[in-house]
Amino acid sequence: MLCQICKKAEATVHLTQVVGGKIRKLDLCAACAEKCGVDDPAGFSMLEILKKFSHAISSDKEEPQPKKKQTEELVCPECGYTSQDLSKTGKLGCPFCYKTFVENLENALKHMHRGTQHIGKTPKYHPLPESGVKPAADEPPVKKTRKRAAAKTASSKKKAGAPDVYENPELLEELYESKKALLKQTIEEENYEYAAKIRDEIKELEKKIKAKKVKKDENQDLLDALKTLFDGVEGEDK
Amino acid sequence: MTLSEFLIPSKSYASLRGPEDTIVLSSRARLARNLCSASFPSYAKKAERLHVFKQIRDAVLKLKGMDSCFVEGMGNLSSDEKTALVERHLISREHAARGVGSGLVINKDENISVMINEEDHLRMQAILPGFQIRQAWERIDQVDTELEKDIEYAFHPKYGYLTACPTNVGTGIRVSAMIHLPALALTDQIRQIIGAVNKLGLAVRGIYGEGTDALGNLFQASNQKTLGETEDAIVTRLEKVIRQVVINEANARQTLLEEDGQVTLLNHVGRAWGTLSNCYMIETQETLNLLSFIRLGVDLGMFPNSDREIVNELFLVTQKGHLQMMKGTMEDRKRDQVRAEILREKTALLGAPRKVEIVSKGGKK
Repeated sequence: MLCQICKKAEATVHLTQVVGGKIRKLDLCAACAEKCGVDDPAGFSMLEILKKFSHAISSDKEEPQPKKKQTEELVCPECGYTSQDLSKTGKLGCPFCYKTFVENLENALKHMHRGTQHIGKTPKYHPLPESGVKPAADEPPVKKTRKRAAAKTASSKKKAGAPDVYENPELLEELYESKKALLKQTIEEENYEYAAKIRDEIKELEKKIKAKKVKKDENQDLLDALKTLFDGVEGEDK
Repeated sequence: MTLSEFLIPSKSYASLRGPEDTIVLSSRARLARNLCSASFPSYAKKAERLHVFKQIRDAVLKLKGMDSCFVEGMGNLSSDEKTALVERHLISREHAARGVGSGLVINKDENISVMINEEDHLRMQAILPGFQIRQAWERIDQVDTELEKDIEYAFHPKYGYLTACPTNVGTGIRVSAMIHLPALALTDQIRQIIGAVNKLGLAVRGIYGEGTDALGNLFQASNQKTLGETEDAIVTRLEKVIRQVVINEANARQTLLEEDGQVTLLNHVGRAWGTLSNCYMIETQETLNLLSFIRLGVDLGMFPNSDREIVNELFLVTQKGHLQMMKGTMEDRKRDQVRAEILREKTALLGAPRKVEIVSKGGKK
């Protein structure tokens, strides 16, 4: 084989070294090897050789430095927390950081949790304007308000194309129930136009739920497996 | 009032009972909340933390049920006091490491505790004896709703209640139960059970010690995810799973009782009793493991002068924080001696364990 640097002389010096976690091989002729200081008793750096002659070593598959994402370092305007702080600690600096770093977070949250849309409790007394929960003078009992807010938020999210809710069968059921409750309320209030919209949404949900029900409930399977762990003996509650 | 004056005396605390507490020792529901107007505690400067502390403390003190409560800054508690609070599961280990700028409020019944400026501005929890997960959630939900009137929470329409760590965002809820599984340990089923519980989306860890080699056969099962589900769904899942684990443990206990001569049981419980009633120096680790078998023995009726309270009390007072809060700070070696003294005295009261008469399958309570 030919020397990788001059590509003229026969390669007689074969170097193998682990560089940057990868095995690198270099085949050099005696002259080029001497030029690179391979027989220097003080030692030599294969990495440097690779770098220096990278243009000549055409077969060198040295990976280009993975280009760092071109996003500039984000800084939270409220508290000064940076995206570097976030990647170092995994935590945030202040509530506003959730707006600042929303892109970094969205992906992480998808893996960490069951969904990225909150459908649980909402603050009753100090709803923020964006939350969609408008404080009313005579608020209906908390539970209904929450369901209503959840249904409203969910239906507007649907329009925005947020897919999360619709992948989870449990969530679908919950949404379905809350829409039914909302429909009842809307009819009681004689808001028939809005009721018609909700009725259509309910029909859509019913279709989706039917499709999902075909897939067995994984959790139930595992629960059954847990039950039979003890030699298949039927457990009796004490 | 000092902490030791405030805390329910160990003896009385030990006699608090709850449903199915022979297996589920306690249930806990914790909510994480933050003010919308301040940086999270780990990032905030001291002045800001102190300001937040005062604001939250004042709001919490106004809650009903908080008369005669204990309120203190972490900077004013001694190391032993903080350790004792961790031992009673009233604060987390992380909070015990905090100093000035963090604090806590505990109600007189010691079933509601509020940590201020832990990882979040507010971490409030309800803790009840036995299998009362839903009740613990409902209690803390009430506290949260009442606090809302005075405090403006950081809340986002998509991400829910905002927390310092994204792993808590959304509902901010962590429900957990502390379970005692000595029979499953003796019948070598712990690993399977933990695996199955993990697959169902719950985290299980030893309360003392690491992973599956839990000290004292004590485990804590809790939810891992907090966003994208309602609190009710999270609570229900934990309830279902714990209920099944309880059945498995009860069956394992029954198997041990039905064994010929009850040899396995007698061997472990007997040796535990023998060591505890005759030791002169003993460390916490060994104590927890032996007390686990004593507790099993008491639960199954193997001790003639059966007294559940003795075991519960021993469990508490032999731990470092409680021991030193009562008897003063001391060197390890001395403490190991004092611990042994307490154990010898109390386990003698139990009398030697003996075989249990079993009436019929599933009949023995």
